[in-house]
Amino acid sequence: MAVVYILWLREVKRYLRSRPQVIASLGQPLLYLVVLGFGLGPVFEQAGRGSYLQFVAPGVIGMGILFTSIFSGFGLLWDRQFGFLKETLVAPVPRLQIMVGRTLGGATITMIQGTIVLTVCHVAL
Amino acid sequence: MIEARELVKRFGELVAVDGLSFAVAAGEIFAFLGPNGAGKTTTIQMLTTLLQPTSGSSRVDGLDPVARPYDVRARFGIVFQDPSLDIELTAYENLELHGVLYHVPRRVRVDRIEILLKLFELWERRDAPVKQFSGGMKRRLEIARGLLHTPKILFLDEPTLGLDPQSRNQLWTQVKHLNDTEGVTVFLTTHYMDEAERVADRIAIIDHGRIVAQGSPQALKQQTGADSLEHAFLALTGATIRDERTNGAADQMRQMARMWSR
Repeated sequence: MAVVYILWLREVKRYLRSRPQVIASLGQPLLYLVVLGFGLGPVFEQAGRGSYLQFVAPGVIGMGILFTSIFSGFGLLWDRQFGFLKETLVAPVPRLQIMVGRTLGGATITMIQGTIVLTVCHVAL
Repeated sequence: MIEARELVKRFGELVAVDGLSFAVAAGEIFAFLGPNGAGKTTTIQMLTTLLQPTSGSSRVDGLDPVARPYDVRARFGIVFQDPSLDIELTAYENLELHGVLYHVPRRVRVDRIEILLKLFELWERRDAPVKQFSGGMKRRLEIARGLLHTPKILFLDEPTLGLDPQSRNQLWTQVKHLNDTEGVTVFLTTHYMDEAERVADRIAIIDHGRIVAQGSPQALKQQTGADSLEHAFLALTGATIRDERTNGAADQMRQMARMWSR
């Protein structure tokens, strides 16, 4: 359990320390919401049914979650490139625990990101 | 402490390690010397459970790395040829993470981290991210990390690569000190003959995956009639330059798949 926790903590710490990643990963959902939202919104509304923002927000959140998950998966490749993966591979720990720790870390980050976008959408609506 | 019997590793056509046999006694500093591509790193990878030998067997602290990888992994510390720290984390966090991975109890961990960071003169920088460290500091931190779980054996794969003479000198002094005080067995590879001569009790020279000579530094010099270990090394392995053949991408993928499937 401690192993899973420490690997989870590592992922979360790395995320919280890399401001550029936080900001960049918010850029895309915001682009969809703001640019397309204000651009296409009036067209959509003229076509007749309700608010465009309300229509795209769930999709944007879903997409944000998808991308963040993919990025945290790429983290494994980075670890391989920078050698840290070997440190975990020679540790007397089952591979499954390593994977679970990382995955939970990635899931936590994704949830944080999703919540941020959700909040932004909520405010925008 | 470490024993290899007729170890063989083939990568397709290439025979990286070709029937190696040697034994390292407890508390000994054993140097593995050889030109690039001689099979040093492959041998270490087999002893440290990262690669399965094609044939032959080995024992690390009396245990078979193939049959009991987890028990073997808990018994050694390793410093890889390439850096393997998480550079986003601080020095302390790197050690903490290692301690948890190796099941070092919390109280022991805190003390041990402090002792090692002070010994390797990194205590003042413990809360700085590793990406701000110099090459020598990173190397020292990796060795400290390798020793955190008080292993019986320390593998050092070219630990002084790319370090200045001051850092190298200091690093070997510290390794020697730990060998004296904690009795840790050291298995090292290096390209610097003066280092091997200085710290190693026994040296094996390996070329084309085979041991061509082994013994104390003095014995090797006498055997070849050379006045320095460097000349002895060249006499035994020839003066031609070797190309290090790296594995193709497919080979690497296969290795990765094997690692994860265990």
